[in-house]
Amino acid sequence: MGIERDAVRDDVLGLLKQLADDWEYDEPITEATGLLNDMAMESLDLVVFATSLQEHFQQEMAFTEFLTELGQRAETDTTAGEWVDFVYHELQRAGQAAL
Amino acid sequence: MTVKCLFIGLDGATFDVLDPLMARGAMPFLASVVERGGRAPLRSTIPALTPPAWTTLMTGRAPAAHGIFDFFRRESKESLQFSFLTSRDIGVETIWQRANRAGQRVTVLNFPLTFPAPPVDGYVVAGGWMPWRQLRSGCHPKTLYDELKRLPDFNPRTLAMDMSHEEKALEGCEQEDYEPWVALHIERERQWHGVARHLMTTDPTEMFALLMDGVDKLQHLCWRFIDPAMADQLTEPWEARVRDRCLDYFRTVDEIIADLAGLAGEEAMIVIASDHGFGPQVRTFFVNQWLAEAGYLAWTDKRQSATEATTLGIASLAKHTFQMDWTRTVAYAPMPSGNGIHLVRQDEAHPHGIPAEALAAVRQRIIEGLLAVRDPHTGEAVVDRVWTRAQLFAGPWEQIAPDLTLELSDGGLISIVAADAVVMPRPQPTGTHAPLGVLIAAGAGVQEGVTLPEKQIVDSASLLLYAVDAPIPADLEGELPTHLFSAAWLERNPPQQSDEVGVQPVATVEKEALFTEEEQSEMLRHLQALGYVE
Ligand SMILES: [Zn+2]
Repeated sequence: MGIERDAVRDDVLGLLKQLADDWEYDEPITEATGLLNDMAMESLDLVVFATSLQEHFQQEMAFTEFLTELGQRAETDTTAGEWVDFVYHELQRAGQAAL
Repeated sequence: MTVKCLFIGLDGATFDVLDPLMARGAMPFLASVVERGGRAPLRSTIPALTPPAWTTLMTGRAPAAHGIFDFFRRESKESLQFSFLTSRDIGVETIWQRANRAGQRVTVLNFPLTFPAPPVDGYVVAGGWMPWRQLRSGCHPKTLYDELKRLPDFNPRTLAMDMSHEEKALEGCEQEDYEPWVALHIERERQWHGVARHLMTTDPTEMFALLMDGVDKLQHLCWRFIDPAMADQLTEPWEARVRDRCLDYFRTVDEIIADLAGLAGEEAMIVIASDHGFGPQVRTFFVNQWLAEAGYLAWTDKRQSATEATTLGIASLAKHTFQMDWTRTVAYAPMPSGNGIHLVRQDEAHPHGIPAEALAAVRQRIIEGLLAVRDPHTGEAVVDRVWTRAQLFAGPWEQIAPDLTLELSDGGLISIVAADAVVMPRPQPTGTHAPLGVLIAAGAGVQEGVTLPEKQIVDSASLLLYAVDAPIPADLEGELPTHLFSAAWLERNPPQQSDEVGVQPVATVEKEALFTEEEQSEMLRHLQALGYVE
């Protein structure tokens, strides 16, 4: 059994796209898209999105460390690609074919 | 399908405000409901706070059983970190699930702790801190959001939480900010009305519940314009205008209830309840400052720079738990919302904490010290009562509950920031939570003009299940207020008991935090925006 990063990416970007459609954000969403600066999310949105991802993949993930790291570093944004990497890593770690 | 119970939640509603509004004709429909039905003061949970109180109403269980004490909960018994609570954290079954099991469908609109939206048979639109950009994820079933988007006036940005709106309340207090703030809440209730109206006309469910939370938000910020005793003393024209806008808000709420009651039909029982009451807060008690002066808490120098913007573009309100020097802090209040004090226990991670053998004595000294605090201006005691967690929260969640919970003598909420004095009078009284909320019911066997003595908020769950002909499970802690009903009605419709206990597995105490310090800071900012004394 294997978890394809491409499949995780499609899901994460797809979820973001679906949400972004609701607030008429028309730019394409790629791994380079910034959740805060490009998509204008707020940090409450990040936490809620983290909960939604766990719902979607039916998998508890260690978002604590991830979000803590985001909060502590110098950059003021987080890209969709980072979220894909994190979710992919967590799914692999859980050793579970959630897709 | 027909609606058997229309349940309207009014966050923070009190008869002290509603009675005068009904008397002066500002809420004619509510007055008619009271006239043809029954009423009782409804005692809130301790603490009288939105998340525990609504969760008690939604579960029929005390906070000790459901585990929701505040907006946040300590991650684990050793941790000094707090995580924001979601629907997954409620430790027992809700009446929505129980009604479903009895074959009754439910619509649950704008209740806190309903994100992620529970997969009930019916509809959910999550309330509380549901950011508008992700309202789609707060909807159940998944197709519901698209359905709502097609409504002609639907505007999620007004309906759900938008920080750019909420922050107006922070800057608030300028004359010109009051009216737009009230107008926003009028518009927000109209949005919820639109959602409710749509669902009730397209697919009415037996239980139909809508929470309107503008009552709480207006009363926090605009108490002196709403409290009849104070509103009569307003002299400035702008103050009179704000007062009028507040009355418009309550008129709007009345119209919404009237419209939904009309749609629900005459057969439906209408139940209106609040999670807690409201009253004036006359002073601020800086509890962490008191703890600092008494030697239980030490600040770091970090708090000097607390208002600087931090990473991720979040304006940090980092004046709180991470501003404390953990080598010298053994007692602290982390949240401005729950009136709770936590003690730091000695363990490997916290070598400077209180050793187990000293804990009881330290706790007792803190309790005695708190009860001795006086308002220097009036000489009054500031703290009425201090509860230990064993008294309030004995049960599966005890070890992560606050060690001490304060009831302040003016009913108010603590402030957790550093200050120059422990107690300060407030320049203008603001609104704050009070223990007695409201319970109103009419229709479906409720007798005309009954006034009952005080009921407990935990009783409302039994009433709501009875209203949809669902059995009242044995593990509910409240009692059905049978005196609301005529003897003949009760004979024809005897309350059914059931032996079942909730089947939802109890969430575990050890839980991973989802929130970083920065996010917690933003949450605290939200709390401020919601009117919690900071
Ligand atoms: Zn409330």
